[in-house]
Amino acid sequence: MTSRAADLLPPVRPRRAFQLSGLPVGALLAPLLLLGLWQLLCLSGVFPPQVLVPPSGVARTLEEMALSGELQRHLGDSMRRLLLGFAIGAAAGMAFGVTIALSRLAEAALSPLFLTLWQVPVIAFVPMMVMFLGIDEPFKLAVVAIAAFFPMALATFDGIRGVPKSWFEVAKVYRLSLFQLIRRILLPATVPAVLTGLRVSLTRAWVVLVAAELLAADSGLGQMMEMGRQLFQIDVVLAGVIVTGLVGFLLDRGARWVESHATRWRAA
Amino acid sequence: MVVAVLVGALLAGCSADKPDNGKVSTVTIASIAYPYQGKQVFTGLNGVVADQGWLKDQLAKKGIELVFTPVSTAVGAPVINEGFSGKRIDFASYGDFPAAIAVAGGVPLKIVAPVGQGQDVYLVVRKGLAAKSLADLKGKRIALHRGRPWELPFSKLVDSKGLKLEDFKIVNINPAATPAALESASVDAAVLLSDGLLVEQKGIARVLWSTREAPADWKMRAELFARKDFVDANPELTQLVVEAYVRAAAWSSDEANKAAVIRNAARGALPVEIVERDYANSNIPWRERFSPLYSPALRTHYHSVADYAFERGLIRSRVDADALFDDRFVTKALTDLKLEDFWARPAKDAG
Repeated sequence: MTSRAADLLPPVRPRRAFQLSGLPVGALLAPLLLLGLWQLLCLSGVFPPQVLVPPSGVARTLEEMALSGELQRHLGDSMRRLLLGFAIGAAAGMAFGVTIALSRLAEAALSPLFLTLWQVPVIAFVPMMVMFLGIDEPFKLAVVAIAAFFPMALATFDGIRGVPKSWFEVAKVYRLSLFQLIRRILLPATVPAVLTGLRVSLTRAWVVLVAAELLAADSGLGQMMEMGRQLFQIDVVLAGVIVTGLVGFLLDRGARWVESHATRWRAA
Repeated sequence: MVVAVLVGALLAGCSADKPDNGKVSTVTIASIAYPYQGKQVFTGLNGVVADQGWLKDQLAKKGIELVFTPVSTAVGAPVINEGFSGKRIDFASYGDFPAAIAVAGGVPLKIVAPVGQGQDVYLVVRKGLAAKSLADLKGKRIALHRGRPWELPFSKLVDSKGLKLEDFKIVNINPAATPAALESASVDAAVLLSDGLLVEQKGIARVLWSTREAPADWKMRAELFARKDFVDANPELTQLVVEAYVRAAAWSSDEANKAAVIRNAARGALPVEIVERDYANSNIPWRERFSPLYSPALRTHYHSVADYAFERGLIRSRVDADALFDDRFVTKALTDLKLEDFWARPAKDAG
């Protein structure tokens, strides 16, 4: 049981590896190499410049969009959807994970359905969600919440099931109430797994949100890219790609930072 | 890993790049297609050209394969523009505004044959909404697939009423998703082609406005566009393709084939009676409906498209409309096929 989360979720890397502040040159090498190759490919003229816009062109577009406030508007809309949807989805996922972990009955009744639905890409639910929720904010929040729900539920479930049986026995001996069991034993024991779940949920929710915005939205980074494609402004599409990637990277970094600090606190 | 991807892209780019000066092995024509009985079928002249098989045979004699690339109406023009710019397609029968977007984006195109007299664009409002005019839709959600040909007439309508696109909540969804959005009241109105009549027939929405109430050049137009560098490098092949379209136009213009043309236009897309109604609405004589002649109205239309799209900031650079027209091929085809007097010569003074 315990190994399931470890198999599915990328492990937290040790802090010393791949650290921006520690090895700035090493960390920047790959992106710089990519930029260089990108520019080189543009200069080679293999692709028409309107298809493969040079990095300098994309940088200019980013600057223009930032100056006009358009970029901030799209980014702000996307971030608001992410945070709200994520809060809902992660909280529900955690509650669900605790339920099926603590109750054999709930697990038997709900886990097959849960595992089946988990295999379906969130985007496949889009037509139904549009019918029930429309194409405004509730739809996008639901997409984010669903994307965050599954990894969160699974991580919580595995975290709790990973707690050694003997600890529960100790709790029984001490006649701990459910509340005490959660606060004194489960919470500290499951913090790492839950934090990993939060991180995976957050980055997954981000990817799915941008994809949903590509399909139906009037604003947001995904919609900005879709419009760029429709109006054949590939520089706008690439600007969106870069911002989306950077935001995803920063979300992941931020969550890892919280994760490692929380783990250290626990170890201390 | 990233390096490997880039090198891969470079190699793929090289192989996908068709040599314009070397031997051409395929001629690719892209157009909107609809799934019908498990196959993709092309409507309009594309369908006739495909069914007639003349072009396929002519090209086969030269050892060249004819490829029709179907494009679903849900994605439409952006895919065609990407194909044009990647030199993966040589011809496309598609709309005025997307073509202007491509040219503004640095992909020179030529109109090598007009394929019709324009299509009506409809503004529909969902059932239960008491809007009587565009002004009543202020602040409401309007489904409009951006970058598609029907954006321009709608934009002109908005302008003519002294309003701005920002006065509405424009929802960028494709026409395929629009009926469901109207039905669930996710959007209050939608801009559509003849599928606007379909949603009205189904009782989901009603037509509030159409280009029939507007000046004739507001209609959206589609033509047979060709990649300029392909035309420059392969004038004989372009001539063959254009002749095939002129043959198809002559066949379609024959009153005797009217029923078949309407039936084909409806395949997979719309009920026959909707197509009939849309055609009847436009008041264009059957004989002239598919006329391949370059009329002054055509020229004015593309000037208007180019200027308007630029002034509204929809395209970033001005498109030289005059550079779009290349009537050499149609003129030669009409002479070769002895069809010089088949279609009415449009008046020269207009425009």
